[in-house]
Amino acid sequence: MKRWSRRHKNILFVLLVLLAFLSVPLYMDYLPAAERLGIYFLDKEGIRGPFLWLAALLCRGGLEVQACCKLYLFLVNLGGLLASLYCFSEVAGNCYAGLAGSFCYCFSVYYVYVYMVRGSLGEVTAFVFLPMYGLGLWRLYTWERDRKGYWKSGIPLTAGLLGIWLSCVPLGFVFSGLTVLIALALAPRTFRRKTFLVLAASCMAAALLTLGITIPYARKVLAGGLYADAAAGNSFADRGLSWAQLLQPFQGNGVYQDEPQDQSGHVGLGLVFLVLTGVWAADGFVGRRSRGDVLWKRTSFLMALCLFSAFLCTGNFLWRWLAGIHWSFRVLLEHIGYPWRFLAPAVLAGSMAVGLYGGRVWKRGRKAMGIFLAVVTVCNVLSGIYLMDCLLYTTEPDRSAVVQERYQSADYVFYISE
Amino acid sequence: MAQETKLCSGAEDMGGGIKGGMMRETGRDFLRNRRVRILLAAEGLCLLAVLLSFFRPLPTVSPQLGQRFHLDAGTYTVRIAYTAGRGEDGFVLWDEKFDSQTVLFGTAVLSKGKNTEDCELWVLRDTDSAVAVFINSGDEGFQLHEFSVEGNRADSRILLFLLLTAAGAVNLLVFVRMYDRKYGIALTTKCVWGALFITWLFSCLPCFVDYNLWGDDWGFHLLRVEGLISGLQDGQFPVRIQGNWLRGYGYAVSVFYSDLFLVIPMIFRLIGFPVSLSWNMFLMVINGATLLIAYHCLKRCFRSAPIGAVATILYTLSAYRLYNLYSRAAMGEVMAMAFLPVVFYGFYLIFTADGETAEYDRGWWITAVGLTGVIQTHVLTCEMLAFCIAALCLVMIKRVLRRGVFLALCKAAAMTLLLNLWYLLPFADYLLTGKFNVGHAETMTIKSVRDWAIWPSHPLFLFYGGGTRGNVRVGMNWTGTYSIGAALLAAGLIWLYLEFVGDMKRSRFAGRGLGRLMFGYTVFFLVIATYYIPWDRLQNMGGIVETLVLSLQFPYRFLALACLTAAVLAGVLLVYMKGAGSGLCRGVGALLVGIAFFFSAYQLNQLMVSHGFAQVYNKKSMGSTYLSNAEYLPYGADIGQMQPDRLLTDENTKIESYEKGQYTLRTKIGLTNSGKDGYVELPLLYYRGYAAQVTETGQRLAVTEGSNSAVRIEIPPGLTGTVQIWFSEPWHWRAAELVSLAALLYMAVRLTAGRRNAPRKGQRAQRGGRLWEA
Repeated sequence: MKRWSRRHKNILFVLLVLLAFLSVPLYMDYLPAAERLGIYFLDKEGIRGPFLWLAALLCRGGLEVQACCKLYLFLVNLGGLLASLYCFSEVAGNCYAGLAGSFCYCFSVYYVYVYMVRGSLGEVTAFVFLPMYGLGLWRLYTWERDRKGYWKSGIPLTAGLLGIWLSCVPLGFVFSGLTVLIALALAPRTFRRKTFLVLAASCMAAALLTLGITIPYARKVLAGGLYADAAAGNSFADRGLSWAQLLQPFQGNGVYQDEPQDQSGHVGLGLVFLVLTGVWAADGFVGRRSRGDVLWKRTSFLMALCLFSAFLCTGNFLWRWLAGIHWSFRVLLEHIGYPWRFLAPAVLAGSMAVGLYGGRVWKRGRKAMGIFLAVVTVCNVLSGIYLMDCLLYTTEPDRSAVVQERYQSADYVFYISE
Repeated sequence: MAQETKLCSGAEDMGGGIKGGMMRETGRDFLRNRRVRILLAAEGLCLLAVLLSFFRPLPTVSPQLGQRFHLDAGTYTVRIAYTAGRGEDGFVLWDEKFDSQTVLFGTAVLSKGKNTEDCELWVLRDTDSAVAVFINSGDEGFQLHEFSVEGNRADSRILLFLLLTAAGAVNLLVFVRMYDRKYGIALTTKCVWGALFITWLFSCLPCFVDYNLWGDDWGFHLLRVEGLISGLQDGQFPVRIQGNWLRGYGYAVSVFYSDLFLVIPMIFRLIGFPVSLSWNMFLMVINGATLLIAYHCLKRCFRSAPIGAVATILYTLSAYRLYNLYSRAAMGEVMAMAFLPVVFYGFYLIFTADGETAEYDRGWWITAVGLTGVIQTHVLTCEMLAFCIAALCLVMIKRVLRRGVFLALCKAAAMTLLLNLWYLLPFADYLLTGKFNVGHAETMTIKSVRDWAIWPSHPLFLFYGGGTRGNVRVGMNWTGTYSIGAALLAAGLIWLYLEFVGDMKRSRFAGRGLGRLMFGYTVFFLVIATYYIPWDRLQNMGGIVETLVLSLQFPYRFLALACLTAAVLAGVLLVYMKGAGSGLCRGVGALLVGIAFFFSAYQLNQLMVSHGFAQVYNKKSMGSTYLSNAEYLPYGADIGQMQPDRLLTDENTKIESYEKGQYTLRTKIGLTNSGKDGYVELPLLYYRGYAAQVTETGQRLAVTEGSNSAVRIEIPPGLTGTVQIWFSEPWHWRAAELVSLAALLYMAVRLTAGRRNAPRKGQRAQRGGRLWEA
């Protein structure tokens, strides 16, 4: 039997430790986000998608609702860590750098928020597929066109898009839009024959494979079905984050029980990405590099994407104007639900940028890499783990799986949007 | 300078004898130095001034109730003589303008019946706005007979104590400075002591306030301290039943829960410090003792002062210890934690030293001292420790069966037994012959031990706040700090990593075995404290298992042991790192200390800003019924029925007079009996050992347990006279005290002789103290 290398052992060990810490909310006899979890196990007619069916089937197999959720969330944590490690390692060209990216990704404030405050099984499942989507685009735009097997870059992209759509429709809208945006931003490359073909084929494949969901979804929307969650709130722009929320370095340590519905006081960019932005800006101003520094350009693109996505989370973007252009935009926005969902691409791009920085630092030696990993750890402990602990600390245990009235009385539930 | 450095290293090599000579030489220089003489003269003058203050005339004031009156800065005794018809009356004295910035008094709780109270009062600066008021809550029968405020000498005693402490500290610093100048103290030593001092100050942060953090058992331990004073005033030595509890009914807390180390806060109280301040000073002493004891033990184990210091800092700042100290006020447990390193060091010596050496011979008595410390502070920790020692002996069975090791273990056990016989015998006597709440779930607050276990999330949780909720039902919501802390957790993870990647397996590191043992123990303690251990089944097994499990109360108590094993593990880890490179050792050491400081800063900060607090100045403000879990109450006794004026007799016996203070067990009654067997039931809680005697004839009367576990005196037919009742220890308790005293003397003689014949440092290094061979 082949012996594991030191590097493999290191990665496996850290991965297990991260999984242990990430799953801290699952070791008790209740879940902090119990208020919403029952939704996924309702018997109402609706659209679930295969992943949510898996959770529902576990429940129908005899497991308690909370036990199903815990098992499911544990698998999602594991899947998220593995997928992000693989994808970010590929992006960074170094597994330690990939690990740093994975750490930032899975302990991002947004992930913790979705996982522990929202208890949104679909959205959290999408986190397994976002790195694949990122890797797909990365390969598509960074691999040489004449490289053997260039078409394979479409595989992770397809898998990513497919997974996102099948787990959470609002994020499906977000990332489909993002794909268009990136394609336009990188138009000179996009419209090269081979690249365009792979991109188009991937998107088509994903669209075809999700038809089983998108068609009934569209039918129901056009027939006037409402997305239950967002319907109870204000307009899309009103649900945006304030700048203070977005840029707050330490989330948590507050009790947001009185805040209606979304408790978005616990969400923001998080310390890691704020520090990253600072480092990137400083690097941009004072760093010395050659004109053709491709790595810097790629990092900058990812950072720009991260910051732009973060800006989209605020109410200051032209959401009101967009909603007023045409009813279809308004409906689309209502089905995205909350502007802070744009934190997903921000976190993805930011984590990839962390990976790229890690790759650069790796070349400077072990000591530099050690310091880099220590900084990443400290930032994650002070943002993601701190938020996680604060949420656990301030949440009253709820062992039930009672579903809110508006879901119980609904005729049709967009499980996949919750 | 170079010569000084050489001297220093030479002195270190040459061992204790030379070092002692250097100390003596420095001492002589110290006394010869002109500046030092000036300093000593100044201190002497201050001392004289303080001593003279003992002879100043004391002021007496008889103010009007509800009217402002003047008080000079100082300490006073407020005397109130009254008759109260109800038990809820109170007496308040405060400063209308500046409140507790000037006058420290609080609300004295008054008792039903005719009483005279002497309450302590502290006036921090002169005031004209002191006001005294009675709160008689509609008690129409309330009568005030006397109210006066009289100065006392407590302020002079406090000044004397502060002066001696400050002078001692200054003189010590000057001495160390002179020693350093003459012989040079190594930089490492300075850094180590500096770090330990900073850790001490840091761990004492919540003590630098004029109140106490409200801990779970805070009131209980305060009553124990006051009870010691009451017991001594009652003429008991050692104190067994404390008279201040339960409105004067008395409580045998001292029999079940040793008070030996509560003598420290008792001394502070006797000097004259207010209750809150005495308590904070006591907490500071505990922190200091934990640091010093752990440092001296761990330094010797690792044969490295810096590594010993790092392990000590991690242990002292461990999350669960700080939580015990400030949030739970679990004084027994936290004091036991100060002695756990001694137990570890003793066993370390027994199992590692060569059988032929003196170092080896020290192992058993160090173990005995450590175990004595644990028994005298917290028997429950000893219960857990016994379990661990049994497991250790099983793991190390081959070594245990070596003649020398076996003998040393037997000696340690025997000496521990003898040293503690004065406490263990009465404890066992009551536990075996009496029936108390302890061990009976239906009468205790803690019904199910499993309800107080922890979740696996607890050890991995990093940011603990000031919460104190402990029941598993509350999950992590405002939970208590049931974790060894991030730094110790990090040390465990680093060790696990080294094992995982195979570095430890490949290395020839001598401490591998010890590290593995400590790691195994740490994981075991963390697991056994969890909800997933079937504590309920164990509890339902009945018999001794039920009693042991129930007395444990909280499975999370195992975290105390986990803190120690994890701290030792951290030390072993650093020794390993040192072998790999001193830079790595320093880096990891600094990282662990940094983590410890950061997370304990967060914990203490959260504690101080979100935890409840209380200010109590004198014992009259403390009440008398803070029994915590009421473990030592006779089974079935109802506290609600325990009224201070409850005197019951049969129809043939008549009480003519009755004398008993609120804080004493000594009672005197005058009675007459009209010709048949009779009885008198007194407001005293029955514990075996009470004696009753007719003053006039010297006749001893039988004392039995009456209704609601009250003391009942059997009155023979036709008795008329005065009967005195007091608590008197049985002869076998006294014999046990003598045995313990003899054992203590033997240990003291042995220790003194051992020091005289101590091998030099160089030789010591070759003997014992090796890290555990793999």
